[in-house]
Amino acid sequence: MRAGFRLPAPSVVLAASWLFAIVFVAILADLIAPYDFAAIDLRNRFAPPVWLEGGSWSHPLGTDDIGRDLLSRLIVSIRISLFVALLGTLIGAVLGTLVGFVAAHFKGWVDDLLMVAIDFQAAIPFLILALAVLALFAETFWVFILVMGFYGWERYARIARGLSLAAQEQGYAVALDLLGARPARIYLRHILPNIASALFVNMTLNFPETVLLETSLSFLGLGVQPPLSSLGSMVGFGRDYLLSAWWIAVLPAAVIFLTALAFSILGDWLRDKLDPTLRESP
Amino acid sequence: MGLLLVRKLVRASITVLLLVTAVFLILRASGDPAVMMLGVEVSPVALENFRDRWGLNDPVWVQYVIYLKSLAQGDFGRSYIGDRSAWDVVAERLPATLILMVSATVLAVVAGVLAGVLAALNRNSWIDRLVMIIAAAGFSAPNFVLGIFLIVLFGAIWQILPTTGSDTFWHGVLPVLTLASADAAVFARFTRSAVLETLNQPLMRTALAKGVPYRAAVLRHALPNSAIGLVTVFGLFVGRLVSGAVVTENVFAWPGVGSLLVLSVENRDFAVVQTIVILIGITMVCANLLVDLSYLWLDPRTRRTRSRT
Repeated sequence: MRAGFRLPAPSVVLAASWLFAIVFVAILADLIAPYDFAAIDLRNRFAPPVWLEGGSWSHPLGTDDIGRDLLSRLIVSIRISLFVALLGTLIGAVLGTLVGFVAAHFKGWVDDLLMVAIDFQAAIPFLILALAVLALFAETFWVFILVMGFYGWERYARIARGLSLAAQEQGYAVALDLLGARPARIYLRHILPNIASALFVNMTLNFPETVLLETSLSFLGLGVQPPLSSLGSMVGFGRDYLLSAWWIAVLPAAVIFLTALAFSILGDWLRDKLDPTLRESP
Repeated sequence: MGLLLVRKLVRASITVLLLVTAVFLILRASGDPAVMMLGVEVSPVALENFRDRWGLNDPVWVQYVIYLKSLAQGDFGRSYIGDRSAWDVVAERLPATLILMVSATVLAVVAGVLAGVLAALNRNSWIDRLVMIIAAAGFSAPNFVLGIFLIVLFGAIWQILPTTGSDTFWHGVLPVLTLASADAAVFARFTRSAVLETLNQPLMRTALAKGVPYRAAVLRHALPNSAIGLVTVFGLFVGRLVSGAVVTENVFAWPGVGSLLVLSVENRDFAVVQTIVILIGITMVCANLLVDLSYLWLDPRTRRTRSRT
């Protein structure tokens, strides 16, 4: 095969463009939303999208059961869904990495205990644990984000623990230890930058999964609560009108689907790029 | 071999004990159970009576022991809706969920493995591309999104299938399809790469060289070797199936444990939530145990290397 730059497949370009558009929409939500996402207009209930009969450009994607503009709600929901997933991913990364460092540093029974917790978390489906916790605590936005933050912590912990154990044997960590650096300094200032790439790869895998978890829980009515709105809760509220006004649920569902598809196309492409052993000979 | 089995069993029991403990701690950490069960508007005397009756004035570790003891005796507490045993409330929902999960599993495995083998044997043909495109789409669509699409297509536009409840066989078609699709996609992708990998291994060359026909070589030599990796995927599959069933049942108002779980979370019916979470935990632990054991059965090599360590 000739070495050099090759354009990625059209599907990869499309996937990347879609994700850029989504992020762009999320950042500029306030500027591009045509209406206030909570503004009620009872004279304009169940308006269909513009390409269906009876639709008009005043509400390009139609309106919902109390006449709120669906385009504006969709834009704000994209922002909230991405925000929740981003914050959840960051919390999980910090928490899991710290657990991994603690396990690697103290070894012995601390390590055993944390490993048991890690195995336990890996054995039970997270959605079920999240439901159990949400049953007990008030359904506030920040509790929900904290629950999202716990998603996937065990994977960061495993990676951080394994790589730190390996790093401890390396010259730089031994030297710092002999120079009298405090453990916190060794781990956060020296080992962390060396293992950050692996943690970052895991974050990119974790983020789309967190989006799906958030939308699933919000769809069930146990995630983002009104007056806030997420892509999942939009589908959840829209499903009461599937037979009469299907677009209310289908539009946000399509955004979720396309986003997940884009992530998985891009993920496959990146994996092939980064790991030449996986590349299939033509 | 025997020692290995004992170690796996001990590990599985520890996980169950941890789960039960976690549920206990979360329940206690989240507030006063007396206030939660009775509400804040009742008299202090009633609260005190409730605490006495359920042993809430004892030290925490005494409560923990009592809790473990009653779980061991199969007493999962009472659902405060209708004041019935929480176990009975869950048990009557089990058949519907099992039907859904078993049908979806069969469909996912059969469709996924067949599609994967077909794609691998016709590599780079249009069959392969089609299978991979459908798999990518099926893998990406979360259960509730696919469920909504199916309801709109089959229930609203074509109006050929029922979309809520579980009265007839036809009520089951869309939920099973929804639940099976993501896992069928995973099985298809995995089977394809596993088969492709085995086709390139020396064992295939050997089989063909000694005159085994290609079909037989694929069926008898390549596929069993691909199956080992498939078992790993199956371990992860059970977890996804359980979460998927919770969501799918809610989309289609399927009267199973998953709908009950979400309903009980909304109603704060803790005894029922606790029963379901423990039940799922035990299921997961058993599934993982089975996966570990089937490794030993499928791959004779693990028997030697693992028991030595």
